[in-house]
Amino acid sequence: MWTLEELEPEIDDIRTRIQQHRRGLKEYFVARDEEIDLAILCAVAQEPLLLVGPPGTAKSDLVVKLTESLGLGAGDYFEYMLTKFTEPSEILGPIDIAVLKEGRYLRRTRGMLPDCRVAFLDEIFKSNSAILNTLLTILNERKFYQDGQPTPVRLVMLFAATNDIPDQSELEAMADRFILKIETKPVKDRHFEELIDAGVMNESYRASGHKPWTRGAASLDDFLKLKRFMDLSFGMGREPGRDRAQWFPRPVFAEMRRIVRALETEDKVMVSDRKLVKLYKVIRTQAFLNHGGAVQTSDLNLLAYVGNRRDEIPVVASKVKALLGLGG
Amino acid sequence: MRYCLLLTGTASDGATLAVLLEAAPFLAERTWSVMLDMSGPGSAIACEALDAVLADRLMPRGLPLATAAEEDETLVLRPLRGEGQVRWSWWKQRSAPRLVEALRLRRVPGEPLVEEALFVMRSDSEAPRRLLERLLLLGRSDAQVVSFVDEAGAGRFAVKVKAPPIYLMMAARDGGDEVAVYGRNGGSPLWVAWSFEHASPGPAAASLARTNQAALVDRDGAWLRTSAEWRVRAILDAVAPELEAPRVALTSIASEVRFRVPIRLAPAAMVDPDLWLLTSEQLLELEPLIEVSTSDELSRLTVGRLTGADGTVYLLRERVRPGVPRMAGRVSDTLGVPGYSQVAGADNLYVPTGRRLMPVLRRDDLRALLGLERAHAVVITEDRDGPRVVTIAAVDEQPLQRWIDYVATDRRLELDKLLERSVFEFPEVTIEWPKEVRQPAPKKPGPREAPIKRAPPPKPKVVEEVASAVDFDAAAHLRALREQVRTLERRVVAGGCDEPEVWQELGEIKAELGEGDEAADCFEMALLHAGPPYDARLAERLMVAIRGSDSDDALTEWVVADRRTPAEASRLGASLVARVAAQRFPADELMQLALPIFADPRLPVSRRLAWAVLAGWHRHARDRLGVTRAKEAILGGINERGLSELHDLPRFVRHALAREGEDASEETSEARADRLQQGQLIALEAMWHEAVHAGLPDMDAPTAFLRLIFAVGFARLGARGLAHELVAPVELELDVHEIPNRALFRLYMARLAHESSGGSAEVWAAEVARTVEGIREPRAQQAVLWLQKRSMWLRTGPVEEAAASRATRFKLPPGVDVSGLAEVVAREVSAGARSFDYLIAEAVDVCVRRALASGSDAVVAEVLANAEPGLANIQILSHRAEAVAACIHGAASLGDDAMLGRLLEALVNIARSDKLGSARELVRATQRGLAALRRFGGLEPARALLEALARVHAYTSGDQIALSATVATGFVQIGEERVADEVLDTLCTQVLGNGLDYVTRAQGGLAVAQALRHWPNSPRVERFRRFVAKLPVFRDTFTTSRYYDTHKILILESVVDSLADSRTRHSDRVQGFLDQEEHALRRRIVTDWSAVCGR
Repeated sequence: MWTLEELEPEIDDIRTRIQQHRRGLKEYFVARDEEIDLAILCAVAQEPLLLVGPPGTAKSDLVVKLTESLGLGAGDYFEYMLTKFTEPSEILGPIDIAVLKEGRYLRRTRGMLPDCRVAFLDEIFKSNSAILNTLLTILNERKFYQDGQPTPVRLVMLFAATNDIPDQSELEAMADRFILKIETKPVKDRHFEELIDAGVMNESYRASGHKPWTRGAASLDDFLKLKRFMDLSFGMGREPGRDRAQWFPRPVFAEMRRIVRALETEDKVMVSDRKLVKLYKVIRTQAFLNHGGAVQTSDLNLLAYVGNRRDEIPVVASKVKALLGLGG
Repeated sequence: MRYCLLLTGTASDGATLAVLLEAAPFLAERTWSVMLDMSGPGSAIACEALDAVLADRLMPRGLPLATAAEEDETLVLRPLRGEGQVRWSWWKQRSAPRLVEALRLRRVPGEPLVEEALFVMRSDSEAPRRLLERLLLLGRSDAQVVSFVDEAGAGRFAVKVKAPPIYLMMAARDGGDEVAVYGRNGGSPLWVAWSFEHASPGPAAASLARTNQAALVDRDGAWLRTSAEWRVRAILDAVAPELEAPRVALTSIASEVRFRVPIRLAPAAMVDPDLWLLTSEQLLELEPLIEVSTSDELSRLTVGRLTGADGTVYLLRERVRPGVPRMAGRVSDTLGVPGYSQVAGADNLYVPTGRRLMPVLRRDDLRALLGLERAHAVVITEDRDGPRVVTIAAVDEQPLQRWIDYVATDRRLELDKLLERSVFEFPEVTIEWPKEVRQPAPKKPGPREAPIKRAPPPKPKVVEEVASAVDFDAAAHLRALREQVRTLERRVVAGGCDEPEVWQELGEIKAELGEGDEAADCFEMALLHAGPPYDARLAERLMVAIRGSDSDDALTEWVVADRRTPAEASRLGASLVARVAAQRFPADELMQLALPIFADPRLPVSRRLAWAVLAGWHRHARDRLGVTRAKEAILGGINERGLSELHDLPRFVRHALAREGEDASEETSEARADRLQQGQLIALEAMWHEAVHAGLPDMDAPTAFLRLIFAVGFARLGARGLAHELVAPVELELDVHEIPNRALFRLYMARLAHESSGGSAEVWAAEVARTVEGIREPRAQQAVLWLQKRSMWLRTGPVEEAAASRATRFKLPPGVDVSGLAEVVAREVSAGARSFDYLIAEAVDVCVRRALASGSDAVVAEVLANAEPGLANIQILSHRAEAVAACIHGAASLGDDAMLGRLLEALVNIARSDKLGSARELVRATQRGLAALRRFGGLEPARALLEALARVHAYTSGDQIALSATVATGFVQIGEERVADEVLDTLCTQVLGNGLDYVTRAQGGLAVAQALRHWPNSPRVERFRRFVAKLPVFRDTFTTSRYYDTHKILILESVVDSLADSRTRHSDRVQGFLDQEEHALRRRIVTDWSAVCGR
């Protein structure tokens, strides 16, 4: 594991590479800057990202291209479309029959979700409760249970997509694990020509097996190193409030508090304590990634993605943009 | 040193104050001195009245009293109870006129919600502008503004907001002293600094109310009093919006600018075409249609000959009649030409069907642009270069029938020669082309222009050809061949002949006789029944007979064409079958295009050829999935549409059927048809004379009706002279009749003219409307309408029952495909469906039909399995009968005898039930069930059903009659004419007997007349004579009987109409053949499919 001393000399280069990587990826999409920015940020912060939108709005394409651009090794990427009939063994791996004869209940996880680094789960809310519960543990604790014993998972990045967020209380816990959710909308109305052109190019790439986006500027290691650096910097000083005092200017912090409070009281958006802490860290990570320093008011735009329900997401996005536009 | 009360700035202060006021209430209105700890929430309040004496008195009550003394700017507080002293180094002092104003506010944790907020700021600062801007950005234009001036004359600006944005309150609180924000709840006059609360809000508000004042209380508890009434303004009144941008003003002026907008043709909904513009070659393509059409149908088509820059063009037009199915679809299918339909709102403008003019113009503009007023008709045609305007200045149209001569001869070779010398003799008119394409006028063509080959449609000028000119041996050979043909045809005309050798032999002979098209039909039959792999030589014979092509280029051209005429589609099919049979397989790519063409049920070729193409190829490719899909496509198409009389009925079968029973004679079908018509005419004449001999008073209204009805009948049978003879006396004596009768007579005469001229439905409706509106007296008008609406000849629009049967109110849920039909039907018929019975019945019907159209037996079986158990849940029996009939249809297609037995029994039980409300649906259900059983080869179950129904005694006489008529018709249709006669005779006796009321008798009479249409001519006439002889028994008691006898007129109309009808009987025989063929074709398809799939 890298130390702060090891990382400090190269951290600016890593930031630069990731930013280049982000810019490079945007070239293959039309009007998806927002989604790509968020996906890159979540990849750095190792927070799961939920893409919500109707079919055909580049959700899968975005995740697939991003993961392909990271140059993952064999078995590092796991992708699955969930249905209500999907069984846990399809995600976590089948039961090892040989071991079962010995009375132990172990799964063969090779090539499955617990064994991969990056995962993409499509239609996540259509899965059944057995899978959802397992996923909760994996997302919370980065581990799952084998024969009653917690086993760490290698998963660092999780992307999920859904057409809708069902309004069911049993799914709220899973929805809350996704700190950030973004609505992907069709872009054809505003970018008709560009969409056609880009679509034709993509088809051409697909037909020829050519994947120029895989020549990404950053590697998976860069993302992991930046995350490690952030984790270490959060713990520097070992005294409460130190990080905030150093990296979060008081007016910006007050602005964050005002917006969160306004969302809670006026729009009834539930921001749990866990979510608030994670939001702080994600905002800090974005600030560091984008400009390498203290948080600025513009970094609070991430609050636009804290909506939980499908109908909440656009309301929260426009509300946060409006409040930030008031100028503090 | 002063005595003071210590307050902690917490909730416990409330109790302290309550005890203080209880012990010394007078302190409430005294002036207080307030000392505030600026580094904490505490405060100390002192009052002159709170002296040592009072302090001693209050001490026992536990109040936190202390002495306060200032030492070096530090306030030293010494509690009287002896605890250690408290020192406030940063403190502030103020005075308060009463106790409630001396209390310091308490901080409330977090950000409390308030009902109303008041933002207060200096009016001369930037803060008001910024706040108003933010409120408006957040869409809070409901806020109100207030201006204050304090005692020193300093202006304050306040904004009052209900349900205030918490963001702005927090921003104000966090932003220092620039903006103070106060909150209140429940309309209290006490505005408290936001995030704080007053220790004693009730008394404070009460004190303000007493003086009609409001107060703003800051964090330290200092009060700013104002009047309770504020002069508030809307926020927008306080805003002076400005836009720094250059201004440009535009002024409207008169303009004559006009833009050239090209008119074009755009896609529109497909409608039936009204006319066609045809070349002479295209006109000849009508031949197959003419052969299978009745004279009545042909009389509805008119032809006009036009000349112009493009040479000779024929204008074919359909005259639409009310209540008569359109021929347009059949004409277009036959010609392979879509035709032109009339533009709504323009009487004489036509555009290609499925197209419309864009943009939509005002009618006057359209008239001016296209010269509609000067032309007889304007047709906008379209080719690759765009639209063309064809102006028809004048045209002389004649019924197509007039240009057809049917030649009665067995000597086909001679006939062909005669026909080759035939010419058209249409009257000539001129056609005006648009100016830009106007050509020099062509020379007037000679009278023998446009020679045609083998064309029966136009009137042929027959050139006498003596038989001796033909070689005697050849003639004998031909006769022998003809004899052979007739022998073989007798074997196949019953339908369902599945012996390929018979068909092949017949085909070979017909080919030798030069009857290529008929030979092709036979070869198709032979191929079909021989099954794949097809015999290469036979397939080759088919291709030659049908004039197909072996070349790849031709195949490709036919496959990629946008449209294919029926002839081209047949050639393509025959060529593909031949190539596959000869093992010279077409390219896969070509077949990928061709297969969907032949799987389309709308392709204008016989279903047997379509199946031969698909089955031959899939067998070669060993494509199980392909052959299964092909089977489902073909069977689905047959289930949905049945076999086509135009494409699936070999042409010679129609003639052979007409000749059936007359084998000994050499008479042709046309001659026989003429003879049949003569027979009908003679029968009608005989009936007329019988009526006359009975004595007809000349001035009698019933006599006039009798004359008119017979006249229409004679006109229908072609005896127009006789018809006019009958009408003339009525016309002469018209004025002596009552007003309603006069109008009705005029209507019958108009009907006579209408029959002769072939006028359209619209024209007839207008005629009726004009006549009815001409009657001023309402009662007389009612009397006319009473009969007009009931008469089958006088009414306008379609028959109500037919119209009602077309409307289906049940709609399948969106997104349901064939796999979901079973689920839908199960849900609909379930006991808890809570739907109307008619909707359930329709649901069953729709699901069964959709299942049948899928062509998949599994789907049909699944739907039926779910539907059958729930049929008993349909309480209304007439609706249940409809659902049962739908299931019979499905079960018959599956050949599920057990289920059929159960369903037929259910139908019979419904007929027996005394709860059957109306027999109408039962009759319809029985007819549908019988039709399905005949189609699917279920003659035995059909017979069993009819026998069971014949024994049923319906609850009412009317129902019994309707049921008996249906049963009798059913027996005739399955060939049990003897039993049918018995049933019908019983029915006739019942109707003409004395046991029925007037209405039931009339209904029975009409039902019998309707049923008799299915009988051969001779027994039909016999029975009708009985009816006419007993006409007086059809009485009525309607109020209109002072003018006319409704029932007699309706019965007579029905009898005459039925007598002059030769179509129904012939259609039954044709349908019988098609039913047999369909059954055989199904068997073959299943056999071929099983061979490939190994099932």
